[in-house]
Amino acid sequence: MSWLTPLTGLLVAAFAVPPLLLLYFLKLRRGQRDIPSTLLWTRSVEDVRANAPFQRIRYSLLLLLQLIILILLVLALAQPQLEGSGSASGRTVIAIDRSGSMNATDSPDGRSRLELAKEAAIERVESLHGGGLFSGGSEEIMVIAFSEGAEVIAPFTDSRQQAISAIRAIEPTDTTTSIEKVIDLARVFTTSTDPESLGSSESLQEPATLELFSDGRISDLDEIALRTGELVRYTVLGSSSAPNVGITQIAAERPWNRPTMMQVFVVIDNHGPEPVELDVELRVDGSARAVTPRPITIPPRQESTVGGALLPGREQVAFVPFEQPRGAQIEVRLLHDDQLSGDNRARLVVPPPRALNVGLVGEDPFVIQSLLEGMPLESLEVLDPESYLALVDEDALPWDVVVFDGWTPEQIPRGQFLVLGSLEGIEELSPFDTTERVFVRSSEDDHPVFRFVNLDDLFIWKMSKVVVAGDVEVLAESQEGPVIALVERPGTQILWLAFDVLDSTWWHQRSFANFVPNAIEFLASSGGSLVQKALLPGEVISMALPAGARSLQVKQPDESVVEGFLGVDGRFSWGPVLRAGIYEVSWLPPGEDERARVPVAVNLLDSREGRLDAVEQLELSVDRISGTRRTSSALVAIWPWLLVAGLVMLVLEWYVYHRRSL
Amino acid sequence: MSGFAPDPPRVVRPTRVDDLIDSRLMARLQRLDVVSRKIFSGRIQGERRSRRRGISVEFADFRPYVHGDDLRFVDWNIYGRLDRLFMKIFLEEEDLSLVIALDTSASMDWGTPNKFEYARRLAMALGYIGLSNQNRVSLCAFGEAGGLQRLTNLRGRRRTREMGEWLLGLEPGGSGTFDEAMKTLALSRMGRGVMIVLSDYMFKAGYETGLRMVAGRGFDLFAAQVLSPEELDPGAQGMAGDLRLVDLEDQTETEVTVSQKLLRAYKERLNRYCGDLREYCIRRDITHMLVNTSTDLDVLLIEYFRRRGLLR
Repeated sequence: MSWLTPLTGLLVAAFAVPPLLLLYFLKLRRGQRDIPSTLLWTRSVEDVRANAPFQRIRYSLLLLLQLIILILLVLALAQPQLEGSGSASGRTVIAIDRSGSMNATDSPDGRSRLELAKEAAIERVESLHGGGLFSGGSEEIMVIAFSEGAEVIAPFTDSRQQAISAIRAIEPTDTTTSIEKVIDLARVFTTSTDPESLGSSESLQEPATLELFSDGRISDLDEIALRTGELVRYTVLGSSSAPNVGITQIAAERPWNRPTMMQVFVVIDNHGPEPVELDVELRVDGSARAVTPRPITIPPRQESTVGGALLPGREQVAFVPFEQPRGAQIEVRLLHDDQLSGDNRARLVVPPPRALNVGLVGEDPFVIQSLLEGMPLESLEVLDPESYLALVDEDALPWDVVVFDGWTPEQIPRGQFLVLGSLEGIEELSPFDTTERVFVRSSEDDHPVFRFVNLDDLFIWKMSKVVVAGDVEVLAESQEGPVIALVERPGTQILWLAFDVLDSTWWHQRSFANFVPNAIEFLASSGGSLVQKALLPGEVISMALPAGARSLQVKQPDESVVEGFLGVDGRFSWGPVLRAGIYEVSWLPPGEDERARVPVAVNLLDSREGRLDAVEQLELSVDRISGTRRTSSALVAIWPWLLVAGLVMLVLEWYVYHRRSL
Repeated sequence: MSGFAPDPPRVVRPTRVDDLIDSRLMARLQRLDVVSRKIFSGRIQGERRSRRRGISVEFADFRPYVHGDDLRFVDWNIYGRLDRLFMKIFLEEEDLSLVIALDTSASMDWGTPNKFEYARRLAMALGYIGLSNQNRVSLCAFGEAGGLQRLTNLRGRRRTREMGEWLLGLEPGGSGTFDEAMKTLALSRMGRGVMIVLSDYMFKAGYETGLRMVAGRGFDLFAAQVLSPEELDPGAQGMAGDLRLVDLEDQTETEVTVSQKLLRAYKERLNRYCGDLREYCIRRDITHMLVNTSTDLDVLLIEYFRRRGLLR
């Protein structure tokens, strides 16, 4: 309930109610009646008065009715409205969640949470923005749409229409939710940048009220601390118990020995309290290829034994490998209706099979060479360092993966590398000593490079001790430091071994014979050579295009086409992509008239966004904010009803007054 | 429409004696007679026993002769037998003096049925009973300050019309004090007998002094308190709302907001007032009778008054 003009109502009440009471006592119209004697009446009145000092007020129905009429009129003048409440400050930031979970259609009328949020926000703007007949005040309103990032849709404005049209323009996305940037943005806009007032106690303007319209599924709530005076008001959208089933992982693989075959894997999460039975359909290039032979049962969510958090029920589905020598767009669909359709489909773009070109650089890399020669590679080029340096003089390498055995160049170019026992050119790993007689103590056994690899029997006579800095993932570790590490740079991955395999027992073990193909496949697939990685909403499409490519275009899932530009580094970047689906990047290669096309799949594969039950109370790091719900679908001005009620009361009062003379 | 309506209905005043008492009621009343619990000495010989012994056919007693007794009443037979003089004492049959006092003050001219009209018809009926039984009937009306209208010493049924016309000539109004009227009545030589005082007994100065005046004069006194239904149960008769009540006699005003609580308090007050009056009457050997003007006159006379011992 909000009051558009509460002051007017209060003023009228202050001026009208006491006079009515006064008039009632002073000027009560009494009907005159002659009676034989007032003897008994006088005494009776005294009797009653002695017992009840306020008898007149208590028993005067007319006064009661008149008071009700007056109060109704005063309330009507104050123009109450259902929904929303007045802001204490004069500045309000309206933040609307447009993340993936806001696309859930769990409202009774089938509209999405985002639509309801926009509607609620517009009502809020209207209620804040001097909608009353008697109020001339106006609020400054800023509109922010947020999901993974935050975007100011309308900066602080006192134009109601501008704020409303900004809210209407908010488009849904399939990204995750983060509130931190909203808070940062709001603070930036509410903080004074006047250098004269900086540093003084008045450097901060009056903090604005943040009106949050969300379902509360926000990942970084516990990292937010509100400052003094900051006020967050949270309007909960969506049902607090909305079951949902969604695909959270999808992968396609070509078995290394049968490169024309393809196998697709998906992981399905169930966020509901009940097990769900469903069929899963596999579509290739838009037509159905396979359906699971019998319905898959996804177990219900479970409470975690640690911390009591709710973990979704999870089921993995592996489709039978099928022959697909060409590239394909893979789509997996859950044949199941729920309130979030975005995560019931996942897509993948698989390029045609391609054997790998591998370069091997080293002084005498016979062990690794013999292993690589056993792999079904397109080509294997063995070079010594001098030949490598003579050959490689530009950024683009002619190989999918390069193996450096005991040597690395000073400058490691962009690409995928397996480095055995060398540290040159890898700034992320700083050597400080060598060590001897080392065992592997722990390893990331789930990592794809360790498939069928057992490091228990690995004994290393000699290896380098390094300090790790930057983006390095240690895959195997000894008591003396990292043994196997993965160094990530933009566009580059280096799988690094701290030792020369000849200085260990590994080279004659079968696990090494498994490790090398794993590493080559892993590096090649990371480089986009085998299977193109699907993007998540919010990520950026980035690909290297041939030099001279022109007329770049991106076709979005809704078929709209956006022009793009080639970056100075020869890469094409576009994004972030906001909706799940297949994007298609196309360009005209130099000297050709036919467009080259590369599809890019974007999937809503976030288990957090798939969980739909709305959060009633936001738990920030310190504060807790209870959400309010929209109870009605529209902001209802109830003052006309109050006026009608007042009129009815007036008629009733007239009847009561005249009943005695009727 | 009740007496509490803003415009109470106009009272239809009787214009003829027949309006006061009709022949049907007269026929029924002929069988009735006024009873006195006491036996009074009358002025002339009437139809009832008197404590005063005298000339009649009914022997009462003997008493020894004393000097100066009327020798006509000496029982000579006893003298012949006993040689002593005894006087024969006879019960004297004498008439009953019936005094009907009617309150004509403004407070009586109210109610539906109108209290004054009801009391006037009641007085007419009682007077008729008295005349029919050869009683000496006196009527007096009090109401105007210091004024007491009287019609005395009527006897015989032939005086019915005279009595009726006198009653028709009465006009309600005024606010004379009860005490004054009763004092005048007590001092006047009405003889002794039955006195019926018809009034509402709503006197701000109190009824005690007035009643005491007449009660001490040897009257067999009946206090008939005439109240209208509006007075007895104002709530049921539609009294409601915020009212300014104006006293018909002294024009004093009382503002009331009629509520259930007030009506309850009023009824308690009324009951206590009537109860006090009744108790006062019992202590003075006065018979108190509460008369509701909604009661049929013949029912009142034939059943209620007979039960209370005024009529037989």
